[in-house]
Amino acid sequence: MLVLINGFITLCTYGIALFFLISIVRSFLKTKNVQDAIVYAVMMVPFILRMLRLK
Amino acid sequence: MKKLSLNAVKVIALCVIAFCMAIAGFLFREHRTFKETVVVSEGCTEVKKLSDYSDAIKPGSVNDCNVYIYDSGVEGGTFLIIGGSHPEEPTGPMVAQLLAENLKVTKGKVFIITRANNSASTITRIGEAYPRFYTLETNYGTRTWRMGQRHAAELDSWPDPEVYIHYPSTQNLANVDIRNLNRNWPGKEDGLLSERTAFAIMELIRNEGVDYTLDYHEAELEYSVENTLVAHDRGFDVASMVSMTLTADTFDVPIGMEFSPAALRGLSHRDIGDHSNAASFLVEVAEPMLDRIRGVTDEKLLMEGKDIFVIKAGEHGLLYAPMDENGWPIEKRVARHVATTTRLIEMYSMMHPDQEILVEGIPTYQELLTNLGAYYRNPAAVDSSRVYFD
Amino acid sequence: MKKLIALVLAMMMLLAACGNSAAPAPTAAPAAPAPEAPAAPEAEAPAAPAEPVEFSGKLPAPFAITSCGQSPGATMLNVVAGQAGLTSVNDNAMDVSGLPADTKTLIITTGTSGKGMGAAGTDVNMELDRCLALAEAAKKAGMLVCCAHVEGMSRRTDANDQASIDGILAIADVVLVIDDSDSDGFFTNYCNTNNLPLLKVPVALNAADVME
Repeated sequence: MLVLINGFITLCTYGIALFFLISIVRSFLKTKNVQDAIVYAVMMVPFILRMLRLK
Repeated sequence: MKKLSLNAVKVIALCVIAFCMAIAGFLFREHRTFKETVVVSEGCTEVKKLSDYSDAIKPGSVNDCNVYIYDSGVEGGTFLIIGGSHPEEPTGPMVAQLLAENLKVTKGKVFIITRANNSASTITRIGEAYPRFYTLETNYGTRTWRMGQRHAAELDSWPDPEVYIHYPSTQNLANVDIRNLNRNWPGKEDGLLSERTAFAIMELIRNEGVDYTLDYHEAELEYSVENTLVAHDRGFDVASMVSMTLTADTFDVPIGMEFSPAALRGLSHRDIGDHSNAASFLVEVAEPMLDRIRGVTDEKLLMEGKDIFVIKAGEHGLLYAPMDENGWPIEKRVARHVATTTRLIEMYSMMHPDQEILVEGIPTYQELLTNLGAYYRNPAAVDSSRVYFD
Repeated sequence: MKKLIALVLAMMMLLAACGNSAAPAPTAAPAAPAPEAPAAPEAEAPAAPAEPVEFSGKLPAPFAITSCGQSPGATMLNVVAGQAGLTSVNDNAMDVSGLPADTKTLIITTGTSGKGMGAAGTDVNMELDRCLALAEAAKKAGMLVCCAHVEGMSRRTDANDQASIDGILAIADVVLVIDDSDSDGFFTNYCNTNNLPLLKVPVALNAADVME
């Protein structure tokens, strides 16, 4: 039972990470500031790598 | 014009990060999926998986490691060798694999685990510039191992709790230690990955009637528990004899002995002994690459054990192990652990004749110092049934 | 949107806090309380043997062996004595009441282990109090008191180690060391200055050569 609960918590955490990735992508698309755009692009990297289960 | 320029910047930024992620992703993936070759000796009678001992580990999952069994068929003692608890300490898997490739047991039974925390070997420490692999030249070519970190990979065990409450002692430990196999003993059947891994190995110990265990580790020279054998209460006398005899007749740098502290929970030398009938031991050797004051961090430092900053600290008497221009090469570190293993078997058998284990085929300390590579076998030169992958 | 982000952040913190257990995390539970260090001796010292033990070049058995600092040296000497077929008792918490009456030599090993003392719930001062009381009782009973250091320079690194050594040297009748422990000549100089017999062996395993 505890294993299932821990598995569910892990899924939720991936869900939260996906939520943040989507938020960053939206901010990246919306922003009109060049520097902010570059920052958002860099910020996406760890989230994408985690979603792809590479790192 | 401005809008076009902004879009161009965004596209360029995306292309750059995609390129970086592609390279990084490839390198991470290559590291995570690399298979290490193990050529078991003719003395190996069976190879099981950890999942065979407990349902806590799913078959085929990341920590479902190989368990190499050397059963002489003659009644005697039973010994478990644990390598790879901390994959950033290369002697663990190297020594365990070397034994797996050379060992013959003529009395008693020996179990060898080469990658106890396999998940931790699929990732390196963030921000520490670890090499992804380390290699050794053998008589047939290059043997390669994955370099790892101390804790299981975040991909396999995530998130960590805010506070790790050790089971069953309820002692509070650092939250990342939920992924540190050597803080999870005796484990928990329904816990997180490292807890379940420890539990499964404990099931092996209990079900197979293991009499004693040895866990291989390395430590930075700035750490006080260095070049020492830590023993559970049941193993004090044996550890004393191992320490004294090796210091007297084999090692240039003495090997000390420490009592396993009863108040520090989760470690193999404490909780394996407390939760089974086995006497548990843990052996440490110096690894300069773990020192915080090191300089360039690369495979050369890992394998040669020489760093100018650590040497300088040694000159000022700031270390717990001697350090000079010779460093601590991998040959010496592996040789010390192999010699400790052999001596432990001898002393335990002498002091517990009803649990005697007799072994052959293990190279001596001097042989390993001079020709370590000769003791890793060529997978192409043996029958494929003797070749396994970790 | 901002409220949604705030809510998600709060959920994440909540999940992380109970990440590995379904039950709420209990409040911090202390480790099992360490045993108290032995109290100052109030028990009677063992009766004096028929004659006070004289040192004749080797340490006479039976031995009572303890560590001033909870390091493994005492265990090592006990094993060596046992392997040599000599009667020996090792108890790193030995106090006056635990000193066997038939002991001829009380061996107190010096050099400390921080982990050992922490696990035993003691410190170097409490260890010195215990061992000095033990030594006093042993002397009253006519036993020989031996200060030993058999773990080399790795047990001569800090102030605790030195305090343990200095405290026990002061009451010793004879000193036993290994070559590595005396690599700087400290014990040799001390024994020469204080006219104490010094037994020096290459390694701890050879300690049986100076036992009988």
